[in-house]
Amino acid sequence: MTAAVPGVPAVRSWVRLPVAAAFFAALGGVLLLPEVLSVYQIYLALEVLIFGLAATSLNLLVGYAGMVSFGHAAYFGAASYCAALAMKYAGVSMWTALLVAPLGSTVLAFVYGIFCVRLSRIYFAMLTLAFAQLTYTVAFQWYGVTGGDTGLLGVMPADAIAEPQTYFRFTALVVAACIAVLYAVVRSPFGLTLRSIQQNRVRVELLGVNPYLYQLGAFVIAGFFAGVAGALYAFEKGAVFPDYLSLGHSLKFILMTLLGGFTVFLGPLLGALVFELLNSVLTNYTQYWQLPLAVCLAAVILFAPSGLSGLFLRKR
Amino acid sequence: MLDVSDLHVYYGLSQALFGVSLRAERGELIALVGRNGAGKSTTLKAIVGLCRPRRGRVVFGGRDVTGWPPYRIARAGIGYVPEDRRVFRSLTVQENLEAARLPERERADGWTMAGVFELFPDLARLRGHLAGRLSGGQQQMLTIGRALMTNPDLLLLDEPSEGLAPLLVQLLAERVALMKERGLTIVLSEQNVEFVRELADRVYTLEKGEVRYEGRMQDFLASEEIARAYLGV
Repeated sequence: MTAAVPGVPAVRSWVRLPVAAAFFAALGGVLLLPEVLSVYQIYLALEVLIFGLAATSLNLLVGYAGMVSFGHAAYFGAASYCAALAMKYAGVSMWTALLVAPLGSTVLAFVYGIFCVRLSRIYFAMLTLAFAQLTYTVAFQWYGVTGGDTGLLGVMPADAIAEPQTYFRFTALVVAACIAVLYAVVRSPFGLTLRSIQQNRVRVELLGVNPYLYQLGAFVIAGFFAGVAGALYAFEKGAVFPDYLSLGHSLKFILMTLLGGFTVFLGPLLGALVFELLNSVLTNYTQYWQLPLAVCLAAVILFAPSGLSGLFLRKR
Repeated sequence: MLDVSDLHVYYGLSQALFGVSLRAERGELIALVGRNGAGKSTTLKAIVGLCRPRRGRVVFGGRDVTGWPPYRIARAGIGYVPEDRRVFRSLTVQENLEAARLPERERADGWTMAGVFELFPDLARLRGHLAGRLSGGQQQMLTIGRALMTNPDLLLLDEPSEGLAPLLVQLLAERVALMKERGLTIVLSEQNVEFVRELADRVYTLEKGEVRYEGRMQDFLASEEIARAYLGV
């Protein structure tokens, strides 16, 4: 329908090829990593990928729709629990559990989202936090089902991918596919409308768009991909704990997003990388590793408010 | 096509409109003339659902749309170009227009991006630029283009000439005339009667939230006493 205008070159087509090439080159490089990394480093890289996906899904809300959720760990952790519970009580395979888990977090995001997206700004943030704390409390106290603070153990990946190297490659492929889909989402007309809503909600409404539906859609999509990350995390750890649902995790996703920069699509992934590297390096020197991390974050916010990626890329 | 009757609008305790009624037939261009604070913007806002009238009705295309949320009114076919413009600043010109596409109102003979670019060639040239970097006049064109992308049957323009250079005002008037030629019904609010004297079919003058005069443009201009008050020489 978007008719070409004579004499004006189309902007889109030439962008696509390099993006795809860079994507596959990066994926190829990541798949080769287990050849050179130690097992400890592989686990570190796994967390970068998994938290990077969770932070990228959060950024669909923060960076594109202008909705700062303080409870994104709810969907991450809910999927972890779904996977563990499905294996424990329904006896399903790891593969089935991995499919079921994000669906669980999607449903949860839909239910919570119905209430949350009606609010904006600080009220939205507070309600997402309240729902996440509620979910945390259920997992923490319902001993009969969730095991309370002892969690659920024995959430093991299938034999075919049980080795750290193979599990890493499997995770890299899944995360890459999810990142690609999220990229398609933000580039789609749906993504464009989200960015418009972030800019000026009333104007968008005057153009015939019901902003609630779009924001709810974004919330549900973000809940799905956080769920994929949460399920992958459960199998990486081999266990599920209430901690996955905690405010600490929600904050971690927000910090990664801020650190890397929410104005750039890959910012949160970069943020996850820097966060995990800092975390791992600093813990060698001090048990108070959060202090230097906080200083770094404060410096980023003060001197590079659009994040580390904003230092290299033009803000758009 | 549009039938507004007896609108009473309040902002908190203060009353802004005291029973405003106006009509627009298909293909007409209606000018809403009055000073600052006379209620022009409030009338338009009440029509698109941005403020809820305490009394009165807005009937559009035979349907009572009073109290509908703005997005439903937009889908029913009313486009609105607000006074403060407000483009989506961090989106490009092209993205601004794309974001305004309303698939369910697209028609074979409707407005497309190409059509908008034809009407405002400047926008075609600037399609890759961020909208926040455009000049005031260009932003005004973009806001109008954005409203056209939703293929409205009725377009409300709130003081489109405000703050524009005289040359741009002239250009804008020509473009509005072209839109009217394409069959669009337009309600336009203005302080500047010069801008609408060639364009408008009928005039409503507003004063302190009430309609003071209603009639054809040529009658309005002929009745010197009224016209002089609004030409503000």
